[in-house]
Formats: sequence, structure tokens, C-alpha cells
Amino acid sequence: MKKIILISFLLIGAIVAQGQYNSLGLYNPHFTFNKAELLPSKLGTNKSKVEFRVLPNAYIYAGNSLMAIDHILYPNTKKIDDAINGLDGDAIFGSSLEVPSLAFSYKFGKTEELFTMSLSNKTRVLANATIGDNFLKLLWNGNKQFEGQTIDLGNFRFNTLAATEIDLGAAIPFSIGENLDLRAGITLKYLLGMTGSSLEETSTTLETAEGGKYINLDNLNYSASFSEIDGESTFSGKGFGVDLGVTLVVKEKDISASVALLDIGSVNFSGNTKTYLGSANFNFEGVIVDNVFNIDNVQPDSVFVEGIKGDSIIGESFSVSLPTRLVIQVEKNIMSKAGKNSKEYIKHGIYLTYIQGLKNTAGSTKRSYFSGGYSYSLKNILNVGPTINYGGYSGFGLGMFLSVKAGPFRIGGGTNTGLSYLLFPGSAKGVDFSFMTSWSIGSKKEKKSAPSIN
Amino acid sequence: MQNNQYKKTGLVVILLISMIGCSKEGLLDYSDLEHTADWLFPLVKTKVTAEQVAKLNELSYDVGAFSIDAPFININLPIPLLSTQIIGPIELKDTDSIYVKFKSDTATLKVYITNNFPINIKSGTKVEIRNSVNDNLVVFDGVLQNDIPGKGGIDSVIVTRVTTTPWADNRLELFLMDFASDGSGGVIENFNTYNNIDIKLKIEVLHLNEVELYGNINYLVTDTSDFTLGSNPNEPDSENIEKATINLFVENGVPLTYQIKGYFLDANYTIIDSLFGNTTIASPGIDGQGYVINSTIVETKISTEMTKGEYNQIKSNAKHIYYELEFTSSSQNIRVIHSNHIKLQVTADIETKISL
Repeated sequence: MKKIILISFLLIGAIVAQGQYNSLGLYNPHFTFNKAELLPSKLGTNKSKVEFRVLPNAYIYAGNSLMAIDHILYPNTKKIDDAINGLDGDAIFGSSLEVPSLAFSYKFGKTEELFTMSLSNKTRVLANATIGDNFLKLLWNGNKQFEGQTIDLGNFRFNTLAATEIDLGAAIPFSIGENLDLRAGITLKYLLGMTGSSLEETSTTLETAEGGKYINLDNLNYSASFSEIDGESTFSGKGFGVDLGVTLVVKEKDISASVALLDIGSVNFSGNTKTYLGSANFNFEGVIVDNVFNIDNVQPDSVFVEGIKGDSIIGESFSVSLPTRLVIQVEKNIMSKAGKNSKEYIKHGIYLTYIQGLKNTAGSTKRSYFSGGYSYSLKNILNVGPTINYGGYSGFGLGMFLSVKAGPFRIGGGTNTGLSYLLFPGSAKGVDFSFMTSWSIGSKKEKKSAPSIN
Repeated sequence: MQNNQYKKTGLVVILLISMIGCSKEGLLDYSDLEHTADWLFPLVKTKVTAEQVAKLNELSYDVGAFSIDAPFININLPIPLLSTQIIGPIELKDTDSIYVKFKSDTATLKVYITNNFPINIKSGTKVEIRNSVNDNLVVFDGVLQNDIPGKGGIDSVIVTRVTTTPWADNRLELFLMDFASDGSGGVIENFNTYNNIDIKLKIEVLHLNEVELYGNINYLVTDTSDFTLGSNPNEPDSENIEKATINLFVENGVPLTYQIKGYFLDANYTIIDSLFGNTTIASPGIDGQGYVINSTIVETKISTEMTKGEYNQIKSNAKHIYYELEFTSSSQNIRVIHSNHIKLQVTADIETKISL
């Protein structure tokens, strides 16, 4: 019991892999690489000929739908009681650690941008878990609360993925009208999986008879696969993925709308894997004593009318899906000019973003995510702005970002949830932080296919 | 104007850093957290049937020695070959019997014969058990497979009958049919010293179809079984048990009232606690012929609460369980059929304290 609870909380703390989204990249005009990670068509939407990243960036997130982060960090029994007993529906947990490291992009075209290409690398550690509300209530309170009932223990699943990916990106601008531009982007990904696990969604029902006269557990079928790190081969999985996106720009109004479909693909683990298969369908009525006057004649085998069957298979390959998501964003910019050359930059940026996970897997949840952001730029040297978001793993979040530019170098950090954690510690269920850097060199007169930055 | 913007931005940053820097005690401290959970689960399930009650499934008759009433008993002569069609009836009466009659489709008849005659009893001699009161029907029969030597020779007839038998009365008669002997083979013998055959008879009912019992039954069944609570009585895991309630569900489907008592005993068979106090389970309704009226069968729940202290005491010291079932009935004769039984189920309601 203790272990299960601890594991649950570790999941809360560690699992939320890429669960929420580094929308700071979307909202901070200083960081095109980060923006392109969620909207591939935004690659190259600055005036730099060359952009690169050498310092590792980081985005870390942990969130859940069960408990406030503060209650996890500073627990007491009542807080856990309230969280578990107040659950209505499955509890979801997610965590992510993304470490984008080397990246390089180059804008082709002499006077105007023909297309932009990038090559980058990123390490992702993602985790996702779903635990049924009744299952948590059962673990916490015992089964007497369900006396005389047949309850659905809810869904149970988990996926984890740790992988390094090499991304080849491209974005191409198209002029489709006097005042309309279209920009298409694609990112091809080759993934090297370090470790992964997958338990496909399973569920079962539990019946506790009146007075506890029998307990039935019906129709539990599970298949859980794990890729183990054995120290010999660093990468036991391989996979491919692709991001696709388009941006439509209304040039006169500096408004753009983008749509992207991210992380279509999976990682297949074929080395050093172990799969646990099982089914449980049993009725427990107590130890059956055939003859009360001969109590030694107890039949332990009769305990289970139908027992639990389990098996394990070594070496069977399995796949972990990438966190496929649909991203829609609308952006309105108010431009200004600064510097000796009166370079144009985004002084005010207003953003609305909708992200819909298409799968419950490591890095995404089907729970919709809405986000809004505002960026204010002080002469394109210091960018700052708040974000507000709702949905996904952890519900409501408030955050902000801050970045500075010194010559070609930009550095920044931010959070989507930090403010809500500080302001509403009793209800904020997610926490995240991002750290970003990049270098932009050269200047290119670009086609205005998206609001330009820098 | 621009200076003001710088100041505002700086203030926000300083405020954020200050707030993030705040810390309080108890970070990730789950060590002192406790809560209680209430678990309900079955422990034991059993069914008491008529065949399991020794009083009904073992009908023993000790006929004792019976002597042959023969005119030559005091005469010393060589005993010639003997054969006679019938010896008996020898009355069998279980004076302790609580049954009027029974019907069984599977029963084992065991007849143990000690031949204290001076002559042998030849194989082929048939043993017949007949009703003596009503219809004189043959209830059981069997044939000696071997000769039984005289002067203390022993043999038995064991027959398992798996056919539908007629009613067997509680007054039965035994006959030795087709009795034959080789005599003394010219040796001078007499029946003065060796003058009886000792017969012991036991009927084991394996499948009872129906039994009619006299009224005013008062029959006590007791048993003692070894008992251990938990895998290791010395382990302190019982500290997690805050309270336990043991529930006994009884569904009485036999036309008898009974009292249940149960006790935990220590290694010296001394009572240390009661499992169930003296609890009476009433008989279901009985019709005019003595049969149970099924619609009147009800379930009775008997609960015993156990405190943490009592639980620990039982876990540490209880080595045996002793129980009593005392069956009683009214003055009316009653009938128990094969489907009549008592359902017993024990469940536990355990309140546990869990430390994270």
C-alpha cells in the first residue's frame, strides 16, 4: 500500500512529461526555434540569416489533475483525503523534461527568403499516467465504502518515453494574394529511444458483496511492456516522427493564424524488452472448508473460482506513440521600430493558442489546453509578458516570461504555471519552468509571410 | 517614461524571485502521515450437511456375542458338517439413536465377525440386514468371501451400496443365511467353551437421502482446531489494526435450532477470548410432516467486535479454536432431506491505520 502511494506521488512528481506545453516559446519573439517546435511553419520567421543554439535549453513540467502541487510538496492527511475523495473521473499525471541542445537554421535566398532549413537536436523524457478515481479511493479508503456495489475502477494506463531526436526542419513562404501570405513548415524527426514503457488502457470492475461475503474482480486484461536499460546499448528504440504546419498571414493587419499537427509517429523498442501479459477474473468467497467437522480439509485452490493468470515475454518489441497534438494559434502583433537602423520589431504581441492532444500517451493528454499570452518588448532588448492557460493535465495556470537580447545572443526563462502556484498554492496542480537561449546572426530582408521579429 | 518601465519590470522580477525563494518546513515530509482505511472481505465459507454430522452418518451397532442354542452344547463329540439356511433373527437396536428411519443411496455396511465357535464358518455364508418393524425388507446384504476359522477367527463383510435403498428403520435384524461349516473334522469338541459368535456392525451413510428424527433432540457437536492468526504472531504488523469486526452469516436450512459458541484457546487450551458468544439460531418453519418450509429460511448475522488489544492478544496467544454446536428440536418428529444444510460464512471488517 505504502509503495503504491509513493509510486503514485512519484508519478505526480516525475511523470508529467511534456504534458503541458512550452508556450513561452510561442509567445516570446526572441526564440524562433522554440516557436517552431510547436508551429513548424514559424521556422525562420525572423530577419536573421543564421540562427543557432549551442547551450542546452530546458523545459520541465510536472502536473496532475489530482492534487495541488503545494499539497504534494507539503502534505497532510486531510489534503490527500480531500483530493482523492473529491475526484470525479480518472486522475491524470504527466511530466516532461525537454532538453533542446544544438540547433542551426539557415535562411536561403539572396534578397528574399526562398526557404529556411534547420537541423537540431533535442532530448525528451516524457511520462503520462492515468489512474481511475475509484481505484485511488479504493487504495486510500479501503473497499468498505463500496459495500454492496459493483464499481468501475476506472481506466489505468501509463506510457513513458526517453529519447533523443534529430530534427530536420524546413519552412517555405508562399504569397497567395496581395495581402495574404502562406507559410508551410515541416519537421522530420529521427528518434533514438533510450527507454520506454507502455501499458495500454485497461479497466476492471470490482464488486464487494453486502457484508463482504464475496469479492469479484472481472475482466481485467493487461499488457505492460518495458524497455530496460542494460548499459550495453544506449539506444534500444528507434522511431520516426513528423511535424506539419501552416501559417496564414494577413499582412496589413499583422494577424496570423497557424495550424500544426505535431509528433506524428512512434518509437519502436525491440531490444531488451519485457512484456507482462495477464488477465484476472476471480471470485473470492473466503477459504472454502468442505467439512466444518474436519477443518484440516481446507482447499486452498478453491479460493479462486477463476484465478489470476499472468505471463511475461522477453524480447517482444513494442511501440510508444509520440504525443500527437493539434495546435492552433492566432497572433496579433503591433510593430514598432528601434535602433540605429530603425529595425522593425514586435512591440506588442497577443496570442491565443489551442492545443488538443490526440492520444493519451507520454507527453499528451486528450484534455484540451487553452492558452493566451501577451508579450511586451522594450526596444527588442527585453521581452516580458504574462501567460494564462487552462486545461491539459493541471487545469488553470498563470505564468510569465522574461528574456533579454545582447547583440546576437538571447537568453530567457519563464513559466506557464509559476504565478498560479505562488498566488494560488492550494489549487495550482502544475509547475513548469523553461530556460532558452539562441544566437541570431545576419539580417535578411524577408518576405513578410509571418509577422517578423528581431 | 522608459525608466518607469524598467523599474516596473525589475520590481516584478524581484518579487517573483523573492516568492520563489520562500520556503517552509515540511517539504515532502510524508513520514508522519497516517490515515485509516476500512477493508471488508470474506474469510471462510462452509456448509454443514446431514452426512457431516457423525450422529447421522455413523450408525454403530455392537451386537455383542450371541450363543447358539443347540441341544448338543454340553456334549463332547466330533462335530459333523453343518449347514443351515438361516440363523437369526438377531435384533440390532441402536439404543442411543435419534433417528426413526433413514434412506440412503450410498452407504457402507461393515460387519465384523469373531468366530468363537469350535468350528469354522464357511465362505458363502450371507449376512442380511432387514427392517424388523415395518416391512421386513432386506436393507443390506453381503457374503463372506473367506472361511472364518473357529476358536477366535476373525473376518468381515464390507459392502458399499450405491443403489437406492428402502427406508432403514432404527430397529434392524441380522440374519446369517446359508450358514455352513466343515465341522470339527472328527476331533472331539464341544460348545461349552466355544459357544458364541461376536458380531459388530457399522453403517456409514455416505449420501443421505432423507432421515426422520425423533423430537426433543439435544445433540452436541464440539471440535477443537489449531489456529494461528497471521504468518508470524510476533510480528508487530497488528499495530495497523485499529478495530476488527468478525461477521458470521448463518443460513439455517435444517429443521433444528442450534446454539453456537466459539472460543480462542491458548497453548494450554485455556479460553482467552470468545469468538462468538452463546448465540441461538432458530429453526426455520416446519410443516406437519416435519419438513423444512423453505420460504421461512432466513439469514442471521452475528457480529463480534474486536479491539486492537483483543486482536493483539489473540494474535499473540491463540493457538486453538474450540466451538460447540448444540442442536435441539421440538417434540415433533422432523425430517432432514439431502438438500437441507446450514450455510456458514465468516467475513471480516478491518479498520487499518496506514502510515505513509
